[in-house]
Amino acid sequence: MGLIFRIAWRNIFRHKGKTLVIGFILFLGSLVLTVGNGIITGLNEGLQKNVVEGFSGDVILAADKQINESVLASMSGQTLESITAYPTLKPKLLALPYIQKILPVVVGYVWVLNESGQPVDHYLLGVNFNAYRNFYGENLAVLEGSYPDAGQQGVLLSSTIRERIYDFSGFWAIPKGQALNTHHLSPAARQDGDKLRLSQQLVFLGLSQKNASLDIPSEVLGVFKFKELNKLLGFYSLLDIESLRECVGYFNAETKKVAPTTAQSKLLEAEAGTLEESFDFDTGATLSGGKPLSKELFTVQKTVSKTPAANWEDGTFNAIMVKLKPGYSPKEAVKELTAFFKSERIPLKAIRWSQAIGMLGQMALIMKGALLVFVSFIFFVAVIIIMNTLSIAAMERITEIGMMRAVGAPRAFVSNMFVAETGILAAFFGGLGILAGSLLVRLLAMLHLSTQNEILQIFYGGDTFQPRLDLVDLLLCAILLCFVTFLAVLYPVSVARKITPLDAMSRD
Amino acid sequence: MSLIELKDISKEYPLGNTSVRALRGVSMVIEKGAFMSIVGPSGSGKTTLLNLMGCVDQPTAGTLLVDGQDVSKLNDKDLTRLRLYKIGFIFQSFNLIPVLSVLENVEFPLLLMHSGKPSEIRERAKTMLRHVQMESHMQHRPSELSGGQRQRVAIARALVTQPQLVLADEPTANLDSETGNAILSLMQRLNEEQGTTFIFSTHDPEVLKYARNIVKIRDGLLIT
Ligand SMILES: Nc1ncnc2c1ncn2[C@@H]1O[C@H](COP(=O)(O)OP(=O)(O)OP(=O)(O)O)[C@@H](O)[C@H]1O
Ligand SMILES: [Mg+2]
Repeated sequence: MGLIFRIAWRNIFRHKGKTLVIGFILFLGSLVLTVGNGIITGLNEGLQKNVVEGFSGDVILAADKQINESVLASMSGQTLESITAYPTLKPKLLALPYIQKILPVVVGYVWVLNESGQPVDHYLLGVNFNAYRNFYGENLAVLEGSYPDAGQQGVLLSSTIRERIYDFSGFWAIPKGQALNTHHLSPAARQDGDKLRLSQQLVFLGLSQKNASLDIPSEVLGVFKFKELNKLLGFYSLLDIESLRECVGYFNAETKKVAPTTAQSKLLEAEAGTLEESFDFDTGATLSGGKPLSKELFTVQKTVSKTPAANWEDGTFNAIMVKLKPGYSPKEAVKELTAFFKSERIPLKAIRWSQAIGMLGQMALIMKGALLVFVSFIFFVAVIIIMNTLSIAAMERITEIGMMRAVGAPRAFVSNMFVAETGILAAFFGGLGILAGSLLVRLLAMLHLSTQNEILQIFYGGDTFQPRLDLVDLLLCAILLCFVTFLAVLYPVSVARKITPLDAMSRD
Repeated sequence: MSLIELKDISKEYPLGNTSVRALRGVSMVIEKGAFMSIVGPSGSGKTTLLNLMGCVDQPTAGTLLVDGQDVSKLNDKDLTRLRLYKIGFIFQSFNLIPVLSVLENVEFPLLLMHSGKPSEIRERAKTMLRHVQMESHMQHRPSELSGGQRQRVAIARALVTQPQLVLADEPTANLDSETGNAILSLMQRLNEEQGTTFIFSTHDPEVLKYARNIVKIRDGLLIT
């Protein structure tokens, strides 16, 4: 082996031009690979941190009947299957060693109605504001109005949605009792000047499981944006949980207890039935200028909602967000929870956050895929160039190789010589590339580049670009480098192995 | 005991659409311990014949036995081992490994054979370089040597493994008569003391004085 390395080592210096070409390619390839890896890791960790800690939790529990797993971004607009008996579930879940805290919510897909313009579709998270704030801390920046108190009814409106509502419906929502803050106006709204229509109330039209629909007027309590990834997460607003339950047709905490005994709920069910027959939901005809909703139904709902819930946790939910204790991965937790639900016969299913956020998660995947394709392409080119250069080297060394073979060097000796030569180059220049790449990643992270562009936000995994590398990534780069070197050397080695002593002699 | 047996050996080189017949039916037997010279005009087939006997080329027709083995039945691996362990070849165009020093070039076959400790290998190589009067250039690279010096290093490399058979294609062509004589007497001594078989091709009448048998070749045929 010593002999082979000695020859390889000296050949590296003897053929400086080729060494530099191959070295440069290896350096560049490793650099791109390392930086790409750093971006992907940063993206993963950024998304994980920002989405998990500010939007979804690590794991989302849904009813086991729930088929579509992208519960936080369901495109169908269907209301999720409901979860009942939360008070009995709560202690069981909190007793699990890997669960840190839980937050039961109602996820709703609603339409924001208005008299003139088009309705705007909108995701709402029905929450107890206190519980939400306890769970996520200061993930929101309240721009106007204030963070609602536990008992307050109304909507904490996403600034992104406010702009959308303006674009489609022509009015600008502001919190109750607040003056218009002109700084926050979208460019389009600013152009309206004095003619800008303001509203302190929104009317949400919810679609229940049974296709019944109810519209709920809701006061705007505040306007917020997510501190991180707002461009992507801002399609959600927060509504007090009782209002959203009404809106999507769940009984709220109070009525659930009294419903079976009151005439009101019978009436409600009957009305819901007639609605179901008279509406054609597939075409969505009712949404724009269709039949007005039943007056009686509306009053019933209003009276019901006026009664404050004794305990918000007693009512119906359709998702439970779960934060894990540090050190537990969502993947493991989902496995454990699934087994737990099965053995305890609890009708729930556990969904990983990345799956629950649907499109957003997929976009991240696509982004990663694109990066991977790019890196693979660079490596493909690198392999071709190195392969070509080495093949030429093999042809140029015919005399030398043929003579070695004549003296008695076996084919393996020739192969090993080429592999050693390329291996040394890969270790040195590739290593240098990985080193430079990780320095570059550090440098990029220190620049704190930030963006408001949604595509870039996914790419960054947050508002600021935070690429990073851990040891596993570096190891992965090294392994990939070895693999590429191996691929690049295969063909030249096969060329070199075929050289015979006679080839060497017929050369001169 | 015969070391090499040629039975009706032909060798054709393809040349465009036709072919060149370099050997046209050569038969002979070379005994172990021979000190033999092949003479003939340029292009008569001397190198071709040595290449076949040295197992770096295969005959087009006929049977060639080296040390009792039919070379046409050996695979590349066996032929390589045969070349490494039994044959020392001194080529007409004396190639050395450019990146290795003179000493390392001579060590090369010994290292391939893994024969002994590095220090022993080094000693053997140095001794052989002394015999060809090249020990003063041990650390030089081949590119820093004259043609004759390279030839002597190539000779040292062929002899250092103490092969049964040494094939030398015009070994003295680039040497002055004094050095040539020194090398030939070294070969003669190895032949006498160790029974090494030597086969040369040559034009040089000096060399012929050392030869015990002379084979003449012309247009690919032996002349008796
Ligand atoms: N690789 C080859 N391809 C085609 N023809 C060849 C090849 N090698 C040798 N020949 C031809 O075979 C014949 C014999 O060549 P060879 O090299 O054996 O001659 P030689 O006796 O060694 O000559 P010299 O004394 O000049 O070295 C020549 O006619 C030569 O042209
Ligand atoms: Mg010749």
